[in-house]
Amino acid sequence: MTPSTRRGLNASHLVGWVPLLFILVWAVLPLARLGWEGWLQVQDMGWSLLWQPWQDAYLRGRVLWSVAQASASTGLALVLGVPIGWVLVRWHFWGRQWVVRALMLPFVIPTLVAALAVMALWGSWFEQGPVLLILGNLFFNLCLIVRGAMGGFDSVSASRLAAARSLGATPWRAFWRLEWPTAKPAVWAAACLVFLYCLSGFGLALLLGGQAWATAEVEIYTRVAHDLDLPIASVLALWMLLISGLVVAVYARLSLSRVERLRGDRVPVRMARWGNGAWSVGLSLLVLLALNFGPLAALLVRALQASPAAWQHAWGDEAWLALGNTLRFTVLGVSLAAVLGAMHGWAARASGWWRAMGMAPLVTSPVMIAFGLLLLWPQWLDQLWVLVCAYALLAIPLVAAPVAQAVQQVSPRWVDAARTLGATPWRAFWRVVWPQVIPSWRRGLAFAAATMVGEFAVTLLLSRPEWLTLSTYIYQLLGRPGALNAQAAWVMSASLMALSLLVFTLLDVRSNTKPESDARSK
Amino acid sequence: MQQLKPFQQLLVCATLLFMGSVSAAAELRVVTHASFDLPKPLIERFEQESGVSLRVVKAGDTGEMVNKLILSKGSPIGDVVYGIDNSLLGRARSAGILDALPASLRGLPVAEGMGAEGIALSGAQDWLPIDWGYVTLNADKAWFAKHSMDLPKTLDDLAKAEYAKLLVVQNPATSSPGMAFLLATASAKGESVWDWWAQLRQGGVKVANSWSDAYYKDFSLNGGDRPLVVSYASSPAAEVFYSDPKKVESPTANVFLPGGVFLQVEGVARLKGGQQPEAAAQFMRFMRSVEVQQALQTTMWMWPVQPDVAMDPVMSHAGKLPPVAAQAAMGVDDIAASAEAWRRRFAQVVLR
Amino acid sequence: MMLELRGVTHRWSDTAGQAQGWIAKDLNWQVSRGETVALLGSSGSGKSTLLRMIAGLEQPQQGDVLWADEVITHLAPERRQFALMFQDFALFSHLSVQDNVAFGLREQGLGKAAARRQAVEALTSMGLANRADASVWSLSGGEQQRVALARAWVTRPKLLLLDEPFSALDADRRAQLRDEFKTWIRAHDMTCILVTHDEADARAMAERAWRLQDARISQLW
Repeated sequence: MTPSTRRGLNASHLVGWVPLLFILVWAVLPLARLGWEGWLQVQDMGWSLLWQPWQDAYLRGRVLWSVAQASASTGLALVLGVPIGWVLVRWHFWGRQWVVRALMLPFVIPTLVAALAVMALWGSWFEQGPVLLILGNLFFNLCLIVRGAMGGFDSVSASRLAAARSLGATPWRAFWRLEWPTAKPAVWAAACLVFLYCLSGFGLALLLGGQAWATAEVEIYTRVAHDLDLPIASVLALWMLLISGLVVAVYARLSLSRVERLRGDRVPVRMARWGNGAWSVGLSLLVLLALNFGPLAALLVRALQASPAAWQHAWGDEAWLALGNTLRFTVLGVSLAAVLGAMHGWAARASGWWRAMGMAPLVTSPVMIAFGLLLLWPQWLDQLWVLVCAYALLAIPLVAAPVAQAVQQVSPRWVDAARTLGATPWRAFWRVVWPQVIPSWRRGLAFAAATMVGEFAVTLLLSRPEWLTLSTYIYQLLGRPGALNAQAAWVMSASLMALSLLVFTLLDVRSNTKPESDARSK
Repeated sequence: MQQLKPFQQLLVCATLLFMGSVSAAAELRVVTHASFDLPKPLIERFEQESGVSLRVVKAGDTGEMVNKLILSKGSPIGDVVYGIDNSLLGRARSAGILDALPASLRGLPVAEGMGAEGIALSGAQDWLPIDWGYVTLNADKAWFAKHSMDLPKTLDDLAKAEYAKLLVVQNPATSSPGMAFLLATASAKGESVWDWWAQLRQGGVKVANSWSDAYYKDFSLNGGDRPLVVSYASSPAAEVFYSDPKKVESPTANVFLPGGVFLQVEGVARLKGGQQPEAAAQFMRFMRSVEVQQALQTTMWMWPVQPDVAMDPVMSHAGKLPPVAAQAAMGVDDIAASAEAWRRRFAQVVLR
Repeated sequence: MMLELRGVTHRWSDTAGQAQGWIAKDLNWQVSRGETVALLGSSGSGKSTLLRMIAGLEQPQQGDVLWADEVITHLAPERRQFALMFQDFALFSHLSVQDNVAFGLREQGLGKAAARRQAVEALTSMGLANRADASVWSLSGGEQQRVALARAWVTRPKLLLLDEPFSALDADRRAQLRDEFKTWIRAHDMTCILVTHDEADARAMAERAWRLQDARISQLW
């Protein structure tokens, strides 16, 4: 979008500075403060400290393993997720809508419960170790690739595909030479996100991998929270930030690539029948069941097996408080992220740098932020608005990215037309650009809501009992022995799942595939 | 057009929800660890009688809590702290975050069962003991019956290959029961403890990150593969209390190995730089009141420090507790001096 | 003389902001009231950019734009009341045909019902009344451009700017639409600048024609 008038340019930059300042204050500043504290502690060691993670064999191992398991998980997710995404977009089958809606459920499950669920399903085949860890990573992140692939394949033009086929390309060649290149940017962008999540993985690495296979993030957490060894932690965090930063740069570059807006030219969805698509659909569902839905099903089974006494124990007063809080914080956090994310998405529509900066909350270590905040503003850490800001911080990248993409796709001529018809820059945005962005914005909000409902890293800050959320409640249940508590944890996890499904359904009312492509044809 | 309405609704909702967070009245800020739990009626009664409203701030695991207090000591996040135990008291003291106890709360008597160590701890000038317990091994009775194995009797038994591979412990760097167990074994075995841990590692001991991980993932009672876990002496009692269907006997048993038991005493203290000194003193007295001492047995699963407080019947499922005097105890300052070095040594010997 | 470009000097910038070739060098141009003027030039000559400058969507690096002897170079586009029409019609796909036409009226402060009424009137005079509630995609190219004209005209613009309005249409439609537009513009006595690379369009519609070449403007006829 070309800048219209000088005035317009300034306004849009101003819009971008608000969320950027927010990110600076809540993510960058605490990190810097903690790093400064660490620097003060080792002034005499000087710059040689920077190379410590590479000189010390243990730390080096951690960093290399973090990268290795993230790469392996991402690779596997790609190999499995891309075909599944293609199948979900091209074939229709009974229950497809629900499969798509339920895809994001793993995000909501607290890490400990997820680990238990994965173990419940796979524990008898695999020992605690790298394989189980990668299975856990796939559980959380496969859905991201699938959704990215769905979006990518959804934007393939039917007429182009027809042209390719008529030019002599077999279905496979047409896929490889036309469909895949069209979908590539979306898929690689999703892959970057998956890599970042796996790299900064923390709870899962410990639970499923064990101490021997812990990631660098675990090391950072241990050193900050338990050892107060700030120098090494800061240096390690810095290196991890650099590695993540590289991936973020790639992601930002990829997300800038323009995806053509299809106008009624979508490839129509076909009904899967025996002998015609049934195998693809069946295989995809099998993989999804094993990796994505299987652990969820195991969780559900355990919850349903719980006795009525356990249900009663679970749904006591505290559970209702937790439910109320989860809803309250999610609504507040999503509202704030909705505004800030939209603002950032608008500002980042044409700039890779802005997009990269918007990703900052995803690559900074939550424990570093929490302790940095403790050093900066200890008197405010038990205030509600700080908690909401922390929630919103984590969600801004999830809202900003799809918004930026959507804004970029709106034809600049529309804004010109609106301006010459008498609309001020703001009115032109509100009446012409924003309606086109809303579907992407809602998708981002659904993703953000999912993350917040299962969020508990925020409680690394100071938490108050009256702020009990569903996930902290589950952790509280698992902090005490007793069969009632164990069963109650399963019950609450299943309830959490149900709640999130409701939230998704409400927010993502028109599911990922647009109505036009729901038109079935042979 | 329709899309405007939901957004406006959301905005109104958000504003209304946000408003539910304003408070008045004198506030006492209590910093605790994640396991703090007292019955609501008791707390409400305290608030009514004292005229202060209690604001509890949970700061994570005990170790994390102390670290957060140390980091923020310039501008304390609370007025009083509950949950510092004898393994962390030295660290808290050397960081200078504790304030002196009011004279009326010094030297209060403690329960007989705590023995000499308990009496020593009760003499602190800056810290008031509130509850105590043991960190020890728990065994899955059904597993041992099924495999017709005897429980280990000594630490050396435990290091044998046949037992080592049945054990899951926690990482002392990240878990306070893990640290407690390490302290117990170290003070019993002296320098040779590291050989002992090396033996355990060779035998196949598992190290979990936290108590929850070990108990709910690795303990055979909950579907794991290890029938021996480092836990609390009160855990078997909690298993009965929270049993479903209701049990009359605990599925787990305490295994008190000489040198494998750590006396843990938790206390409350005033924070230096905190406000509300009067209310803080009242709170500390409240924690030592008979009602609280009675209630915390089944909410926090520790034993009361106050003498002549009736033991809750469910606590009998913990079995016969070993006499405290029989356990070699480490002084608070000794612990503080060695803790960090031992954590690193543990990581080297057992984890890497 | 109504519209005047005085001493306009402007260079292309590419996406990185680097200066490229010249669009205009000390360019002077006048358009009188009520006349339809064509601006011809090969693609890339900058005629669209000049049009955007007149509309207020870009600012000349040097020089001024004047309307009725008032300098309006830095006046915001929404205050100029010049309507701009595009090669790809630029109809808003999330609004119905009638809401598209009513768009400018809403910006002028008219209520929804009143704006819609006027929009339907305009569509009726174009023969598109039965498509008032249709979605934009269901219209043919010619119909879309007529809706775009209705949308522009209904706000009673002082100046109508057409940026290659017929390029996206086939030859038959093109001729038909050209005649329609010409009739319409004459009937409503509008001042109009037509930017095109097609001399036939210019001949059919305009009274005078100018060519923009090598950053200079010269009258053709």
